[in-house]
Amino acid sequence: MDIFYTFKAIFISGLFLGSLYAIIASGLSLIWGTFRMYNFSHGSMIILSAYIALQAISVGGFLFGVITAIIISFFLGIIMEKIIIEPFLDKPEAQLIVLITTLAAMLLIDNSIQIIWGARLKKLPMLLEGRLDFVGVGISFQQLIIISIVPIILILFSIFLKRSRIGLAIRAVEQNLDLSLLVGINVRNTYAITFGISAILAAIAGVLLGSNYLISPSLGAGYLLKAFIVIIIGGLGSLTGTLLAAYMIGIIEAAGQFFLGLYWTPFLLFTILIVVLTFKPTGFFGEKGA
Amino acid sequence: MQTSKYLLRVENIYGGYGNIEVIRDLTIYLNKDESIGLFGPNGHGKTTLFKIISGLLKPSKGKIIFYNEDITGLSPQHIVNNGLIHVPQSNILFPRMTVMEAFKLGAYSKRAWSELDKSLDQVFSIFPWVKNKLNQKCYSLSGGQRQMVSIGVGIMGRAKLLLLDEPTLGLSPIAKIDLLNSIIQLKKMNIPLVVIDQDVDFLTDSTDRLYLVERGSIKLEVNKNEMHKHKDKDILHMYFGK
Repeated sequence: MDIFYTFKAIFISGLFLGSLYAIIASGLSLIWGTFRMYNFSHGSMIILSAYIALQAISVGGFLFGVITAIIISFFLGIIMEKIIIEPFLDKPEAQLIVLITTLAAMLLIDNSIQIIWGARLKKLPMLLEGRLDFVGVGISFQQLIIISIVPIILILFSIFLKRSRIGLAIRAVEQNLDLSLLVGINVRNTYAITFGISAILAAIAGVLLGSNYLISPSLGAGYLLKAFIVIIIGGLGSLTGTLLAAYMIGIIEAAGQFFLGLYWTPFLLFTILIVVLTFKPTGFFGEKGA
Repeated sequence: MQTSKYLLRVENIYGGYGNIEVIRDLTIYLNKDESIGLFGPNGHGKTTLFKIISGLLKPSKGKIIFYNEDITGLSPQHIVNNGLIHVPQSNILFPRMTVMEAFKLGAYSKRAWSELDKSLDQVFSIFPWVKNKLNQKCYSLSGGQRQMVSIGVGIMGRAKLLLLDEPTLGLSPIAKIDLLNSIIQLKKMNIPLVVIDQDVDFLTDSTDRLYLVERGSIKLEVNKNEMHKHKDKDILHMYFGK
């Protein structure tokens, strides 16, 4: 097996994993940036969206299923924000309280999934069946689609944040809460919509993951952990950092799987996390004091 | 129903932070066609008063009436939509956004958004140098530039009244003169002002009437022309340094 092929295979696998991590972590990063809080239910929301999509697909086909899942997730996100986040924002120790409430939400969601859909493994239908030869490496159409779609989605998301009036408000609230109030931004509504958008990103992640891997009610925590590692290494508060870290970790994980095997790869990732935090506590692109 | 001759009435306001009362029975008036200044020792409630007027804080007692509408206890969003704009002290703006984005945000309210271009022209006429800084990030501005961009952000809100909190803080004497000229232009555009500042000379040059705020209430009201005639010479001595 020539070394060139190995590199290509690892790189493509890494791009695929990186794309998944990028879309998973982006929603978490958005919440941290805006609220300065961790949404522990993010992983569960991803899985929940996958199940909702599965259900909706069986009713109206793939496209209908995906769109329904995204819309329902958006509103679920807003409702969640109103119930488990907003009432506590003014309290002292708000961050701690929200940590607990989102943890509680995580348990609620995971168990609800199990009650509604059962514990057996399920899988979403793929967008396109079959494999192809890509620059001399075997890859499924599914993986190729994901590698191409995710960057487009994230670029659109970035443009939305930069150009739209709502995106401006979200970024404003992130950077100066008092001034945001003083220019007339409805901060409560902005918070709610931000959570809804994070839920949309979670839904997209859920559909992509579910169409590629088997899903079960308990998988949320694992993806949440990966998302955490990504946003911490990339630097809290920086979307660019998150995205770069996602692809970097994807490639490292792909290399790790090839050279060390599946068992040692989590160990490798945590080692990297510790190394990065030792030399750059705020992550590669993080803000000071984050 | 009489139309009041007052633009802003702040009547018998009590307020503060949690259990700490900072403002005690404070009353000020702003007539139409005038600007007023607030001066006095630090920590005696001037910024707190602005926060109460703009809705960031709720008063425990008292009323605030703006253009005949009772705005006491309303949300900051509502008050901004009415055209009452508070330009805070030592404003860091939106550090990672460009000056242009900050101006756009100044016009965020529904009332101001539709007139964004018109407001931008107004800002350019008062601060011509800003045209070259539109793509610069807010954190890279100097203190004085930040101050003036903050006022620009306030103008973008189509202000019917501007509250300026310590606009000369940290400014060099030359920058203060530039600021004074900008304020004169604001008054030409018929935007009334309530200004808090340490620099009482600046206040007398930029406003028509002064209030001394001490321990959370008004100790003295001074008309510019009456300055030297006033009986409480000691207080004036302390602040005007004559």
